[in-house]
Amino acid sequence: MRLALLSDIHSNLEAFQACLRHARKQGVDQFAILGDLVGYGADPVAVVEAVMELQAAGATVLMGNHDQAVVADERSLSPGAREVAVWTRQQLSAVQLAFLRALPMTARQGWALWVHGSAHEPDKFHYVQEADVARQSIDAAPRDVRLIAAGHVHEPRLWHFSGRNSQPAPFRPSSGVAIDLTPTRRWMATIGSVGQPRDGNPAGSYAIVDLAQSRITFFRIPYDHAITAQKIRAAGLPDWNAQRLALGK
Amino acid sequence: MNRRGQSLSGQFIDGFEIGPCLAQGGAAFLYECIHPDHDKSLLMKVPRLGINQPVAGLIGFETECLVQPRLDMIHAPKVYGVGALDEQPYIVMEAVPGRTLENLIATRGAMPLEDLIEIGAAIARALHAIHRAQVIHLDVKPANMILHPDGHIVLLDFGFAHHAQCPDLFYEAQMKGVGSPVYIAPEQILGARHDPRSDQFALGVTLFEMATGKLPFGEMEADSEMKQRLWRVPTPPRSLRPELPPWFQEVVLRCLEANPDDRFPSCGQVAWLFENPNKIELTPRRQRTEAAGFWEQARRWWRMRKNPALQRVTTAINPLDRAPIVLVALDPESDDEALLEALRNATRRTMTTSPESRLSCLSIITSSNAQEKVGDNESERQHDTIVALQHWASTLRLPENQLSMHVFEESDAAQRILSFAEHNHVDLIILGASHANNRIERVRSTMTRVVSRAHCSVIVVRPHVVE
Repeated sequence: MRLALLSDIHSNLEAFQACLRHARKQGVDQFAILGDLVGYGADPVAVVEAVMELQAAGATVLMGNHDQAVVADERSLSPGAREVAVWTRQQLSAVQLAFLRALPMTARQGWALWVHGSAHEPDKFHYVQEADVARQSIDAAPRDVRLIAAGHVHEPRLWHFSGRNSQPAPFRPSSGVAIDLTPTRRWMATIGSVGQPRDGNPAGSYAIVDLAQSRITFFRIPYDHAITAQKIRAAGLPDWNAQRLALGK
Repeated sequence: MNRRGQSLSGQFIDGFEIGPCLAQGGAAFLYECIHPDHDKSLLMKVPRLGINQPVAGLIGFETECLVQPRLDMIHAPKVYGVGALDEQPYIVMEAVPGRTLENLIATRGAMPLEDLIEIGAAIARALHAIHRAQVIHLDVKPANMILHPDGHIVLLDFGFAHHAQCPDLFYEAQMKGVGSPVYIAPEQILGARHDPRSDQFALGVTLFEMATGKLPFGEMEADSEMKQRLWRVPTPPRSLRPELPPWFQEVVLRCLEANPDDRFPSCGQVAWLFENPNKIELTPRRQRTEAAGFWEQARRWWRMRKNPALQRVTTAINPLDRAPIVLVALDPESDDEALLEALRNATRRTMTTSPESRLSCLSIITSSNAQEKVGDNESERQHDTIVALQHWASTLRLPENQLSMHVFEESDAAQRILSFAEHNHVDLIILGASHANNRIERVRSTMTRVVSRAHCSVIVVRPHVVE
């Protein structure tokens, strides 16, 4: 079973399509979308539509904090993101809003667990950026979970933790290089953001997990961010949301 | 041994028939084994497992299984199989012929200078090769190096190694100073595992030992003693063996600099210098005849206290990118002036962007143009060509020690360029495109063969064509 994990699409249709195309070419069996379908970008309708189609074909789809803000309460977000959440709510149809509202916080697949932020209090959307937060997430997962995969932090990292007298350590993966998820440790992947990477590399980020071979491969996929930026400006959304795509910030 | 403590001899695991146990180390058992798909006898390493085994041993075994299969080169034993850690863990690799350097030092003692140069260059080449494959060994010592009968060095035991594309399990375990205490670099003692120049420090200790039979910092074991190498100046090797040339001491002491930035930019450059000892920039290091005094040591201690180069970083840095070895192939006597100028411009651009790079200028006298110079003997021809090369390079205004000239008489120019590039770990070849003269076919085939078969990047230079 080979799964493409995509997260933090943030209404960026061009990046989403580029990553989906790449994953299909790799011959994946299924998709899992780890939340934040919307927010920041100008294409919420097309992105939600595409994700609903994936779900109808068997894909797992999770709730992210931006999706929650759109269907429930935008006040949890930063001021700039709040404005886009309100705008997004006006764009989506009642069916699409109902779809977002029904998304779950976590999902299991064999020895792996999917979540948007952290396995520790999934609905609080903790950011796994420090060793102690990674540790909390790993400790909160059921014992038989060897891999937790999440989005939310917009930077691809693979935390590894042996549980002995150690701290989880972050590994910065190279695009296209497979890493064995050995059974001697537990792994916490933040797979990066499809639609708004923030590690200085503007290419969209996603990962493929091979559950049979116990292997994860991260990928960086370039896309035409100038088109995306143009759409954001044309929709009258904050200009920084357009600018940052070229910078990967 | 399997998990129940029984010997594996006589058993079959994943198609490997296990023979006698050849050695039992602190962390692993070594068995001879065979496999129907391979016609030679192989080695199977099986880790000692159990709650009373040190954690470092298991992490080392995992690291070895992670890193070594990714090294497909003559400088590391080829891996034939890896057994899952949650079933029967093992790693099967080729049995490398030859003797370890530890064995050589033990039987021969201090080596003659020509052996030092040959083996020293071979070690530096092996280290540079793994560094280019993004691996840092971090446990370089005579016991972990085999001198292959072909003259190259094979590195053993990648249990402490760092691969830039694999998670670093020792970093996770927060272990500092893993490796062999008398050989490891000061930054390793502080926990840094990201710098290929750490292997260069261990190369320096090894060279020192091969040259003098002694260790530059003695047999230190305790943590406080080990930390002394952050600031202590090593004993100059010439104080122990005065007939060693000053350049050799210069190389050893520069490898042993406490601050990685003060060492050579790459092991490839160390190998290059072993072949061009007249290019070594001699500093006061070469003259030292006794260990540094108290005040100098104190000053070094103060300087090294907060050196950022020694701090822990998880991402491997790659000084190789800053210090490429560049080869320009030209014929200063027959190439036309426009091409020579175009080659000079391309070389200048490359050398300006990488100020630490080295340039080898190579000219091949093929038998056809050797005949044009009837009456000259071989050494006169070579001398004329060297002079012409020097003239060609003079306007590049490169420091003497960054530049070397090589002339060969050879019928197969492409083959000579390729083998020189491979032997010297050249990172970039610059050569001229074919041009309009009656030797066009020969030149074109040299160019196409170099372009298609080189192991590194090739820049093909052509002057602007005026229609």
